[in-house]
Amino acid sequence: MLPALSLGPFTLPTRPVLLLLGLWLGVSLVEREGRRRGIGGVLAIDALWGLTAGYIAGRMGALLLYGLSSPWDLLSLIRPVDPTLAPIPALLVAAGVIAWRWHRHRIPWGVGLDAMAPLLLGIALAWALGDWAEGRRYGEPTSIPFLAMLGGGERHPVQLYEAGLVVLGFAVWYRIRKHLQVPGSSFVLALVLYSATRLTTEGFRAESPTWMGFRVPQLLAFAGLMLGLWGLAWMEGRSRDP
Amino acid sequence: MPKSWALGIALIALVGGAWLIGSRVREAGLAVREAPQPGYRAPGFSLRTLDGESLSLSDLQGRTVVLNFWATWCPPCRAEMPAFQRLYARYADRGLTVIGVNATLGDDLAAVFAFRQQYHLTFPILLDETGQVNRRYRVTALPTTFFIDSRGIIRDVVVGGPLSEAAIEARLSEILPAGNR
Repeated sequence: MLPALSLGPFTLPTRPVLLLLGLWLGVSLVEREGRRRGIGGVLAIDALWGLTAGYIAGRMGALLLYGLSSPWDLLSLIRPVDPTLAPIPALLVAAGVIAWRWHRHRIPWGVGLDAMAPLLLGIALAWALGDWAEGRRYGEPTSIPFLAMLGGGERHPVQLYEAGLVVLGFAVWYRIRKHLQVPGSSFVLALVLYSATRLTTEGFRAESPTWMGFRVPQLLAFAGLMLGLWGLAWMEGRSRDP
Repeated sequence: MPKSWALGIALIALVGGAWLIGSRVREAGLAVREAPQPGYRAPGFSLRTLDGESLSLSDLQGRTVVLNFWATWCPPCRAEMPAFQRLYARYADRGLTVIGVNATLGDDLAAVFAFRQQYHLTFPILLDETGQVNRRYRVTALPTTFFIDSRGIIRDVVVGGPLSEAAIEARLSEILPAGNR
């Protein structure tokens, strides 16, 4: 575990650094995908707009719900060290800003979403590695040879399973995406692969929220996987229709 | 839908569903696992009180516990504290313990003393001087309140506040043993 990075006189928290690297990787790939699809680099700028607006909305939402970390600490509104984000305002505002930017640039929804898929995987990878660095969201107790000492015991390194599967998922997505004809299907494929990753790894996670004994993140991932596969099949069927 | 797709989806649904069922957490298992989630056993800890004594969660076995994470600089924490004090006074001899875990790592000890006096708090205030208990309970926002039943199982978690007296009492009515209301 490496919760902080010491670089000479500076100490940086690892998780935000990893998230920034994940965003950089994701946005770089979005730019490449955009160029491949003939849209140019504008999509990467749109992604940055959406991410920034979503982050500010998430922090503002958290401020309204919980108050400032400290009344004198206005910097906590934008400081990335503070993990408290209200997810729904963040997602809604990010999606709204990106939709507005695409409307302005006349980018079709399906094409834009397809090019944005690597951003999802970049964030997922950084999130999993950030969990590992901070020792959060650890796994069930185990005695396997490659266990990790976390949460006061020997546990499944589930964060690394997740990171590994996200990388594998990206490789699968990268190979298959060229064969998908219908705009939007490449993005749905990324969602399917991420859902499969979470469905698999959440089964090893300790401390999952549960509903009737089922792990809630797994239930959501299973629903996402099934819906995504059905959507892909429908799109594929439509592309074959004369 | 092409036949090959239908077969593939059915196979994935079968394997995924089997994994979903196979990896579920049994109810009996929940009660013995420690985690800061409803349904799980409340993680154990031991902290120093404002009066210098040591208090462990295990000392309160058999009692209903309201665990409130707070700080003096947090306005909603200040707002809800009188309600906790009133309910503690009302139900203490019937099995309720309220514990205020102060985020001392980011607070001022003198302010904590003054706060207790100002609000006439009689329930134990614990000092989380290293932030260890806040981290163990994954507290990301203040106030955060855990409602723990007499078996030591977390029954509800409320992030944010202030909680009204009625809202706290409604939760207590579900976890205080029937004869103890």
